[in-house]
Amino acid sequence: MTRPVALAATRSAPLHTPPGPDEARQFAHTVRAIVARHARPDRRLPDPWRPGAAVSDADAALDDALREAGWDELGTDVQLLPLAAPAAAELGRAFATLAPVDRLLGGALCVDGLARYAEEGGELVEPRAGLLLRASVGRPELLPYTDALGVCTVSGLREPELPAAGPRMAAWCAASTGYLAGLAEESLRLALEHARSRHAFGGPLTALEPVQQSLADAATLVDGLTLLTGAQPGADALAHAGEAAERAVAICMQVTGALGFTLELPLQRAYRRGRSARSWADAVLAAWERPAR
Amino acid sequence: MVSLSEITSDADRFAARLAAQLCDDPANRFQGMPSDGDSRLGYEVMGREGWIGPHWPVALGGRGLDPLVTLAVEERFGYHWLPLSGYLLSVKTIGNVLLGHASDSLAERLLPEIAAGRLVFCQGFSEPEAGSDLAALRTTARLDGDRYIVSGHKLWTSSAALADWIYLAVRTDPDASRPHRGISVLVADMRSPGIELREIETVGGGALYEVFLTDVEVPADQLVGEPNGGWRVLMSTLDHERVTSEKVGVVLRVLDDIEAALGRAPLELRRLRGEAEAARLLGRRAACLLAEGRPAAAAASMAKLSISLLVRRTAETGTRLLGPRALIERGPDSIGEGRLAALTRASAGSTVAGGAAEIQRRVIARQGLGCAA
Repeated sequence: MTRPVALAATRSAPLHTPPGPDEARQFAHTVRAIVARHARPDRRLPDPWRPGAAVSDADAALDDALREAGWDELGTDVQLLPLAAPAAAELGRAFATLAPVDRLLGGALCVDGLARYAEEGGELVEPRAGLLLRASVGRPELLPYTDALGVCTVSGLREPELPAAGPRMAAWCAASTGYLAGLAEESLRLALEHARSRHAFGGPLTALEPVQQSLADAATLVDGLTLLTGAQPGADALAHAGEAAERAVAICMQVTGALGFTLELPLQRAYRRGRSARSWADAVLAAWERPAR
Repeated sequence: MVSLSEITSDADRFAARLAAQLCDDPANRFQGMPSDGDSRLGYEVMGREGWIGPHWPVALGGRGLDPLVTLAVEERFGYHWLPLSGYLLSVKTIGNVLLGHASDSLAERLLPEIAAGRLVFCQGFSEPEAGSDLAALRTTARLDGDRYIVSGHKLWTSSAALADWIYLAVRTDPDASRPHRGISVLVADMRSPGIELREIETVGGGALYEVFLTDVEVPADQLVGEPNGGWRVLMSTLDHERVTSEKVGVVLRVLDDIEAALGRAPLELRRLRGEAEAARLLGRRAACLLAEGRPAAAAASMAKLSISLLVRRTAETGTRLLGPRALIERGPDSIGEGRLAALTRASAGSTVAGGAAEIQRRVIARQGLGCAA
């Protein structure tokens, strides 16, 4: 098995030189290899979610491997910003946990009185009015939620600010955009695979004009997101990415018909994750921009 | 070497100055989007000051710069709402195709004139029985000695009243085994005897034209590409036509207008800005593929589809956020000197002109995703 390339080892230039596209690709490749090592034989990461479940897909082993590869530096070293989105796209493509993306903020994400991926004894980070406020997590009581984000309610965040809020938010926005791009890209791949193999009316679904029209819309959204991933996406890009990924995945669900609606196929994970990630991203962006009282 | 950001800034200053120069002419305002408007003066100034075809070879009147420079320049033209219909046809679409497909002598004759802002083209593609189904075109061109005799009826032709020349899709072999195999492309002087126009006003505020061609004589050396090999040229033409970076500028300008009127930047507007960035990148990708001579149909259709839908969403969002005020077309109460109202009218055509959205999706699915025909 290929040993993951640690982030420091990908830096061939002096530290003051921003990484180029090759380094971004190399680190993304490292993340892809880490994700593959943690996947099951069917190449999927485990999905603990069932309707009504209060669960988290946080993966300590995956976290550790990413940390060892230098993932956490993405949140603190502004020079590494170009690496964040392409690397996070690999997590999205695998329908992996979003916890590493949130960790770029410096703790578990909290917004609008809810936190995700909070761990007992860990730290919460709340974006608000251009700041990152932090607090300690008590004993999180997970809520039944549409996605395995380990969501719980929190209250009373009035703690000191985390330093370097701007760079951390920039990294989180880029990584979130990349994650959504990867999620949408893989969803389209699954939908195309289905549409090519499933036959109806004497040919594959891909020969049906309405299906072609839908897939073209999804592909245009996905290609736009993929290109954004390579262009250091900021807050505006994330605002678009949430909606675009949600729309693209919804089209893919439609193309896969009843099969896509079942828990046996992975596309429903992307459907739930796209919707949840978009609503959290919108809430974070609104809170970040909200004027201080 | 001048950087892209420097030349973009120069283009921005030039476009702002030209827009101010043209704004007192009622014919240059409120048409809809810049692609609905025309100005001979504006076109001449662009050519005179070196802003036409910056990526064309110096020998053909260009500046030999990167194609992405032209894309950035056109975005600034759109942002400043310059009347661009004739420019987009002559330069972005037909000029670029002539560069790749015209004979050397024809390119040397026409391109420097276009680059100098002295020659405007219109494009005769659609016909009453051939719109999205372009291969169904019926206009004929019969070779007679050293000239073609052209007869037919073109429709939805922009800038025909302004144009000096017309770029024509014609049927040269009516007996070809498949419809698209008997098509050729000709260029003709609009002053040729036998050409008549009829104006059709549009909700966008600009005009389209019917072009009636009756036994029009066109010298045979004004053929673009091979005889009966015009389909390839036409497809290349459509690829160039579908990269519409000026519309990215249009959207960004109207978003600025809406934001200024609201006094804030709600998430909906930020989302549209992100979408505009995605559309810009899709356009750049297609332009790079075209410049490298690589297959670009699906990429160009993605660029076209993304910006067409964004134009509509921008108009819809602006109208929803600003209410009835959004539709005031002139005066101090209008939004962005009437640009939002104009865009609202013109946006209905954004998913039709240059190839309907359904056609773009078909190209993407079949040529980009490998879906069966």
